[in-house]
Amino acid sequence: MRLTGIYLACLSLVGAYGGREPSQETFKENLILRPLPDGRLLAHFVFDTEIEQNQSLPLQHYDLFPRQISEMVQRYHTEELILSFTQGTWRFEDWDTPPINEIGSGAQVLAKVGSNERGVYGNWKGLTNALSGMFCASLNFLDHTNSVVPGQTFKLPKGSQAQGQYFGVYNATTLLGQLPRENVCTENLTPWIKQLPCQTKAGIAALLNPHRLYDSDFFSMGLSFKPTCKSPSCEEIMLSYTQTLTAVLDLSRLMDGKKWSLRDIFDREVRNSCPLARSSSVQIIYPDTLNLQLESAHAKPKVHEISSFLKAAAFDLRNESVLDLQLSWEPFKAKTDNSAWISAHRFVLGHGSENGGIETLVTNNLPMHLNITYFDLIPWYLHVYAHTIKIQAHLGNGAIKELDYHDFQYQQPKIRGRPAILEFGLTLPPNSWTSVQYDFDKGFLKYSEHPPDANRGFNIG
Amino acid sequence: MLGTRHQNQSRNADGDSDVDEFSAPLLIDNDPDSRIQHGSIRVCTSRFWFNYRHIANTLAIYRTVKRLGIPDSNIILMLADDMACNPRNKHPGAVFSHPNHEVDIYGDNVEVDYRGYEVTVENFIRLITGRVMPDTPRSKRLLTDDKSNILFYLTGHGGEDFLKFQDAEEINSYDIADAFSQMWEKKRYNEIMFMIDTCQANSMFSKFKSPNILSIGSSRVGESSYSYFHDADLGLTVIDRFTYVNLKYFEDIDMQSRSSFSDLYSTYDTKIIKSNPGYDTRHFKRRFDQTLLTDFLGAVAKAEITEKSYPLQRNITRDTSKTGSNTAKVRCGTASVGNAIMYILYHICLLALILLYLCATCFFFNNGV
Repeated sequence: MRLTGIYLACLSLVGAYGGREPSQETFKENLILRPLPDGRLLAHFVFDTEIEQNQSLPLQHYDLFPRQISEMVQRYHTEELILSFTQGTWRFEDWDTPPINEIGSGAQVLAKVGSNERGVYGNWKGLTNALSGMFCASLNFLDHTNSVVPGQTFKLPKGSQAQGQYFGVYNATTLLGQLPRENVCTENLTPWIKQLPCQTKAGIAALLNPHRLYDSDFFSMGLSFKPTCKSPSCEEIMLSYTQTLTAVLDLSRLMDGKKWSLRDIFDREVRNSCPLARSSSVQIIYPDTLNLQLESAHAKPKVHEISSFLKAAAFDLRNESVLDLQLSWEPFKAKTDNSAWISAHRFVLGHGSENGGIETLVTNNLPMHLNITYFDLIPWYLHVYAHTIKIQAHLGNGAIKELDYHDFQYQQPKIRGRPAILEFGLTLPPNSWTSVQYDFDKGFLKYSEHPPDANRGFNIG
Repeated sequence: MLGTRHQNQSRNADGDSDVDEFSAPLLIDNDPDSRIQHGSIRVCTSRFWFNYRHIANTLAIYRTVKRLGIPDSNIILMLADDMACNPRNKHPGAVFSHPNHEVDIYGDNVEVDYRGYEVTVENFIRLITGRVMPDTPRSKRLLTDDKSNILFYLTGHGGEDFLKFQDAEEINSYDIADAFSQMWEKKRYNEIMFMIDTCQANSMFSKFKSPNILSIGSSRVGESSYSYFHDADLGLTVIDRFTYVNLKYFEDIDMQSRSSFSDLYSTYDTKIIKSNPGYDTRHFKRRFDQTLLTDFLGAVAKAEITEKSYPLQRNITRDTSKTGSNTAKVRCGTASVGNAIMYILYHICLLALILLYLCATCFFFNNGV
C-alpha cells in the first residue's frame, strides 16, 4: 500500500512537471445604454475575450476563446480581422458620434493577411469563405472584383504588434472587402451568439432578443480579432477577440408610456451575470443636464462623471441577482459640444443608365481645421473620370472656396477585374461643409451579370 | 403504382401569377444503419416579398426536421430572399406560416447556409454532386455517403419539367435526374426522398433513372398548385396547400413514430389541396407502406437491446472463426488487449525503476550509516 502511495505520488509529480501552465484567459461583458436626443435609445453590447500567449507557439490551449476563430486565423495566416454587418443609416445630426467605426450599410471585412504557399489572395479567399460558413452570410462573394488593398485609410495601426512572426505570418497585407447589399438578420446573429461563453443563458447577452434588435432604426454587429505585445520584446502577446452589437431602438414606437424597464425594452431580462465573466456591467451614459430617472429595487448604481458634460451610472452585475432597471427621460436637445464632430453623407447624381455622378457632403462641426482622408471604393462597372473631381468648401459666412487635396491616389479599375480606389487628404475649414463630386459613365453589363432583382438597381457602397 | 405520370394534358405554367408556384428544395440525410450521418438540405428558390409563402414553406419543413432530431450541421437551408428582416415585414425577425401568428417558424435559432444571390442552379447542382470550390466551408457542403438517406424538399414557381430559381433561371427535370445519377455513381446517398411543391410538380421527378429514389409531388402535369392561408396583417398568403397538408401530418409525429408514407399519402385531401398529388416508387426498392417517414425526416438512432451483456475479452479468441462482422470486433478486441498488456508492462517497468531507486537509496543510506 505504501509503495503504491509513493508510486502514485511520483507519477503525479511527473505529471505536474510535464504539464503546461494553462493560458490566462479573461472574458468581460459590458452593456452601454445611451438616451439619444430624439428620444431613441442606443444600446451597445461589448463582449471581450482575451488570452495570453507565447507568440512562437500555436494557439491550442484555451477554454473561453472561440475555437472557430482560433483555428480560422491560424489556418489562413490572419494577423488581424474586423468584420461587420450593418443595416440602417446612422443619423449624425441627431445621434452624435457612433460608438463604432463601421457604419456603412452591408457587410465589410478588413483583414491583415499573411502570405504563404497559398499567397495573400488565397488566404483572403479562404478566410472570407470560412467567415461565410461561420456567419451564414454571402461573404464568399468577396473576390478580386470587390476586394482591394487600401492605401493609408484602412492601414491598421502598427503600434506594438507582433510583426512578421506571429502565427508564422509574413509580409502581412491589409485587405478590404465590401458587400453593400448584404442584409443582416437572425441567421447571422445565431452563430455570433454561439461564440459567447454563456451564450444567451446568463449575463447581458440574455437581452439579445432578435425580434427587438431587428426592429431598430440602426443595427450593427461585428467582431474584431487583434494581437498586441505584452512586452517590448514581444515574446508574450495578448490576443483579444471583441464582439460588439449596436442598435438604436425607437422606444416610443415599440411601446406606450414614458417609463421603460430593461424588460420592456428587450422583452427579456437579466437574471444573473455570466459566471465565466471577469467583469459584467451595465452603464448608462447621459448628458449631465438631462433629468434621467433611474430606478432599481435591488441594485444601486455608481454615478460618476466621464467628461465635462457626460455622466455615467454603472451597475455591477456580479453583485446583483436581478437587474430590474427602469429608465425615463424627456427628449432633449444635443449641446453643440456633444454632437458629432464630423459627419458625411453620400448620394448619387444624375439619372438614366448612361452616366451619373457621386457627391459626398462632409461637415466639420468643430471651430478648427480638420485633416481628413477621403476614401472611396468604386465598383468596376462605374467608369470614373478622375479629372471631374471637384472639391468645394462652403464656409460659415456663406463663401465658397475650392479646396486642394494632397496625397492623391487613384487606382484604375479593370473591367470585370478590380474596383477603382479614390483616396486623398483634405483639410476641412472650421465650421464648414465640403462637397466632393465626380462624374462616371455606367458600364455595359452582360445579361448574366445583372442580379436577379436588377429592377431595384445596384448598391455601390 | 405510379401515381405521377400524366403526360396527356401538358400545359405550360405561363399564367402563374395567380397561382402558387414557388420552390424550395430540402434535403434531409438520415442514415439509420450506421447512425453516423444525419443531414438535411432545404432550398428556397423564390425571391421577392410576394413569395413570402415559399420561404414559410421551407422554414416550416426546416423546423419539423429539426424537431425530429436532425441537427443544423446536417441541414442545408437555401433561401433566395430575406423575409424575416425584409423592410416590408411588419414583424421583424419573424416568419409565420399561419395567420394566427402563434408560431414564429424563423425563430431565435436559425442557420441559413445559402442565401440571396447564392441560391442558383449552378450552386445547387454543385452542392448535391459535391463539385464545390476547394475553399467551401463544411456548412455549404453535402457531406453524405452511401449510408445516408437524404430528403430533398423544393418549393417555388415552376411548370412542366422546370422549376424557376430567383425568377431568373430554371432547373429542369433532366438536370435533377442527371445530378442524382451522378450522386449515385459517386456513392453520395443510400436513399433519397424527393418532395416538391410547385405547379405541375410531378413532371419534375418523371425523368429520374437512378435507384432508391422515392418522390412525392404536389400536382399533376397540367395542374397548378395553390396557396392556402391569406394573412390580412401581412398582406399575403403565408403557406401553400400541399405543404400545409404535409405539415399538419408531420406535427403529430415524433421520433418514435411508425407512420409510413402511405399513411401520409392517405391524408392528402384533394378538396383542400385543389390539385392531385402523386408519388413515384419505380426506383424505390422498399414498399411505400412500409417505409417510415422518420427514415428521412428524423435522425432516429436504432439501438439493439441484447439479453446478455456482450463478452468483451475472454471469449474473443473463440469468436475469431465466426462471421465477417464479428471479425472486425475481434480485431478491435485484440488490439485493446494488446494495449492493456503494454500499459501494464509499462507500469510494471516504472514500478521496478522506482523500487530500484528506493533500494538504491536505502543501500547508500545504510552504507553511509
